[in-house]
Amino acid sequence: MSFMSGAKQARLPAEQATDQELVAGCLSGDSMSWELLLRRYERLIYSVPVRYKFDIEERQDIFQTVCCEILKNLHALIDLAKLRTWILTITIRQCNHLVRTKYLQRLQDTVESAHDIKDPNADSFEIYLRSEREQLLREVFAELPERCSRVLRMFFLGSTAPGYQEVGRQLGLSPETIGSLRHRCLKKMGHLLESKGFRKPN
Amino acid sequence: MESEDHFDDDFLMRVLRDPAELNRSNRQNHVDLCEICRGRLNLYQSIQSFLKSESDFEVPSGWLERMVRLFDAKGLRRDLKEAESYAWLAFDSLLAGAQGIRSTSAQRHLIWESPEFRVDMMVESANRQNVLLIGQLTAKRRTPASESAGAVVEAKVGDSVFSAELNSIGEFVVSVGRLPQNDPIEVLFRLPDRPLLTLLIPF
Repeated sequence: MSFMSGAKQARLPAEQATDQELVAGCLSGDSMSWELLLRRYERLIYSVPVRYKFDIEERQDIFQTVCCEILKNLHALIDLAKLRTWILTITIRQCNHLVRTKYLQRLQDTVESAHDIKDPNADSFEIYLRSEREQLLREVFAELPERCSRVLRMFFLGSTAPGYQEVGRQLGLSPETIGSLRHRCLKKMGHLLESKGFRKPN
Repeated sequence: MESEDHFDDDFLMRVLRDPAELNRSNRQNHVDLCEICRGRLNLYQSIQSFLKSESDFEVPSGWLERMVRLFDAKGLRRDLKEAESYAWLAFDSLLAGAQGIRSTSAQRHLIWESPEFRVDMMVESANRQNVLLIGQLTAKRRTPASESAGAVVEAKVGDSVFSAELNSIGEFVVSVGRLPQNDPIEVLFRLPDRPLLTLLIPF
């Protein structure tokens, strides 16, 4: 499926296209599908080397390698429902390779003090779970109506609790409706997360 | 716990901003006992943590555009035979047990899937000094190319590589010594005339 098959055809917003549609678009040579797919998963890919505490050049190497691996192997991916975990697995694998390479390099560089060198000890399992959880939240926020997304951000961010009056003023709504709007948005978010198999942290 | 006893959103939002609110209001005990309120609080904490950290994961300017241009570069998808195929984790008994409890069983059951194969594996760790990976690789569709005879499985644990041959029905046993502390075990299946199949056992 191409999202740019005609000049007059409107572009399909990233949040409306399914992974299946994007992958099919990529495989049929549609570069817009590739761009939308990368935009959907760019933060997931980037978040992993950040969590591994790699420097900016290493993050760039990982990001580039993972994108190449995705592109090289996309044609072999049949269960498209697993695209998210597939990308995450590739990313974590690349990060672990780098951790191992750096560790061995440091061992070689300082043989005499080798006993003092510890493995960076990155908890890849925890990073895997956390990155997957956050990608689901990212996708859900992208799917929520704009008003819900705004009201939830206002309540969850910020050091002080915003009053209904203030939220209502910013959204152009009556303060009396804010409590129930927030409740509906949280409920909607809960349903979306559940439908995506969200695992709450222990 | 009666439903009317559950925390309302206003209270949970106050706790998010100031966790000490739970103790001040003498409601810590309720969180400990009420799975519903604990679940909601955990979810809200995840949402808050996600929103706060999201700016840390802003991809630097220009990176994405360069990767978008990759698509037009020739030769990236040229040779399937040279490509690696990744299997994704479809089941892990460590996660499937009682919620909130990590299994302490000496056996861990995992299942991976790839476009062509399924890997079913037990990590047998009754003897902590000699952990065994016992499993079977099966093709989702029976084709001549899916025959596992002559295939080799390799497990990379730290700097060491342990390997074994698969039998005619894809079964294998690999002894890998001690389990790593945090690093995943990387398992590779070298199949005749097929791309390398790679999977990770997370720890």
